[in-house]
Amino acid sequence: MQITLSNIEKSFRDPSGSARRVIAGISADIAAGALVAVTGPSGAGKTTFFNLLSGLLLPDSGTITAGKTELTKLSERERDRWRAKEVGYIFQTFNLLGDLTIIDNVVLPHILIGSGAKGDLQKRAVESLTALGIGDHLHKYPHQLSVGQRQRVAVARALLASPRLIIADEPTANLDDASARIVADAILALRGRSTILLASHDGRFSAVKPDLTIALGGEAGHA
Amino acid sequence: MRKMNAFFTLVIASLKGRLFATVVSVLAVAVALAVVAVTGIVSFAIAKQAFESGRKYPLIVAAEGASETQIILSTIFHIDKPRGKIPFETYETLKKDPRVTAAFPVAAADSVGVFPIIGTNGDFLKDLGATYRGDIALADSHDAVLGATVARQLLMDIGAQFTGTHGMGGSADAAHEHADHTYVVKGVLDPTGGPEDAAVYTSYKAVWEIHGGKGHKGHKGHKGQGEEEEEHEDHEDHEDHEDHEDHHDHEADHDHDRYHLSDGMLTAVLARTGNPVQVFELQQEYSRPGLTAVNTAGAVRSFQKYFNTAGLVATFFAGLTLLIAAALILAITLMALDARRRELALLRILGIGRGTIALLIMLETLIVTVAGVVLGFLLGHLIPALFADRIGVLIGASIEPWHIGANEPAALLGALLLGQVVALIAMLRAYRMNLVEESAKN
Repeated sequence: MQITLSNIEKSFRDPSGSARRVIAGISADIAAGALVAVTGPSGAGKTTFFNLLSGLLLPDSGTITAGKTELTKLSERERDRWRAKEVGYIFQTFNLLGDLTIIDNVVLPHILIGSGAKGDLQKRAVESLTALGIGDHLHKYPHQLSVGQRQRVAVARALLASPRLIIADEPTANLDDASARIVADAILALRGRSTILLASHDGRFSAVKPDLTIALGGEAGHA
Repeated sequence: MRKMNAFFTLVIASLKGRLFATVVSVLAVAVALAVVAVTGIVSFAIAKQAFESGRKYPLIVAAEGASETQIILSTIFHIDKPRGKIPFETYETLKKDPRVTAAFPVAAADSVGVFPIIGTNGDFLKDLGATYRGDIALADSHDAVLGATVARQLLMDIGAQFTGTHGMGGSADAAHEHADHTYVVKGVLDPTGGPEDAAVYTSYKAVWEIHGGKGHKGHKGHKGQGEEEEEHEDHEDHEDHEDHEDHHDHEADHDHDRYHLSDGMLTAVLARTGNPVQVFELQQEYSRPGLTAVNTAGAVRSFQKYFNTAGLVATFFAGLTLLIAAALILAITLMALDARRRELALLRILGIGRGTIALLIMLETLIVTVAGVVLGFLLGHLIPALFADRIGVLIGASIEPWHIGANEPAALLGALLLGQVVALIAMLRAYRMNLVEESAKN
């Protein structure tokens, strides 16, 4: 999925009422299937940037075009649908719904957003979870798994519907070495097929040269 | 369809995830509704019994000093103590009165277990119109006829023998056992749905024999009366119970005396007349020193009024409980919403719309309410069904456990409506939560 950012800006009002500019005038052309490294110190606005690109937030100004869709012109409901269909999101922590089993965590959201038939989704989920080394824990609850295993579940869920855009926000932070390797391999394996936006301090990712780096920080980021 | 299934799986998982709060919320609704249902069932049973009794025995003559309600409760429902004695001549005079089509003596003084023993005659039992097994003539002073509940609970049938206990209802009033007078069960009434189910009938002459007539050989011990046991040592020998009444003239602080029905004494007379005017005439005539005459229909109306007020109070408190339950559900739901911000934000990030999340929250609240309503309905009717006998004995009327009381449909609908309101509030709150924006700000 090709993504075009045109001078996007985003500010938040802090509790005192004063505006704090988080994203300032970013423009970029991201080719379909590209691996994009999003860098910047903590608090530089990486999460906000990802939320803008996934249609969760709208920029105060500027446009975001993903494929042929101009996100900034869509209603919230249309953006929800677009995100459900096109985006796979992996965060650093708190990826799973604690009351659902592992298999339900992977499959149920996709059923709710209409990604496919239950049987097919279930089959693919089992295959994916097995490939990620947690095929024996399908009916356990997240609290019964280690942090690394939980993150692998999140990866399985994010990749289940073969999204054209993958957003990975520190996906391997706090993981044990084995889990981090599995997660990193799973994400990088999609390079060329899906556009990958990645923010990470993990050396496994640093070793791979990105197609594009977007550096955030200070008053404005730049591509 | 599969979306609906996924939707319900999420909702049920969420409710299971906060099981304690869910159970408390469901129980709060259920208890409130069960109170309304039980009140309706009991009210209906008592009202029905009172109405039928008023129709069957429009006039009751009892001792002076008792209120109409006390007389109705002790004579018709057998759940209160008789408040005094009247001479047998009252019965005889009433029976001979041309305006009276039927009159029946009532001499209540003893009990077996929690069931009262009513001294009367065979005519009274025939007049009940109940079907029965065995013989209900009460020809001999040792004959007894059991109500259906008594036979079932005490596991007695025709031919069984038992002794009575002085006093009413197995309480502290039940002073001592009449070990010398053994009753033999001669007949068992089929269930009638009336207070007779929970009563034992014997001849009024048996009551006289036991309490001071020729057959009164004294009491075997005074169980549970403490000091009074000593006071009544002289009962062992006395033959004439009138002496006893003179000797122990302290009825005000001594219930025991009330139950000593010596020869020629009854606790009440039930009478039926040709028309309501005659009831009024007889009531005037028999309201004189030593006697109270009760127009049953009138007394039943005031009794019902009193009971309806009690029912309204119970319903009011049930309504209050329901409101508290609704507030509790709302508070729990809103607290849970706050606690689940991150989970709900995750659903939004996964592409699940704001409306869908609001519906999830609404459905959770509705499920809690509907579960409470269903459980409340079941508890409110199953508990009376399981304890029908005990409740029947307690209120003196057989209950219909699946009767829907007048206030019950309104309470059920009210609970559902309240649930809907709470669900809508929770849904709006969930819909207006800007989960992603808030998490992004933080």
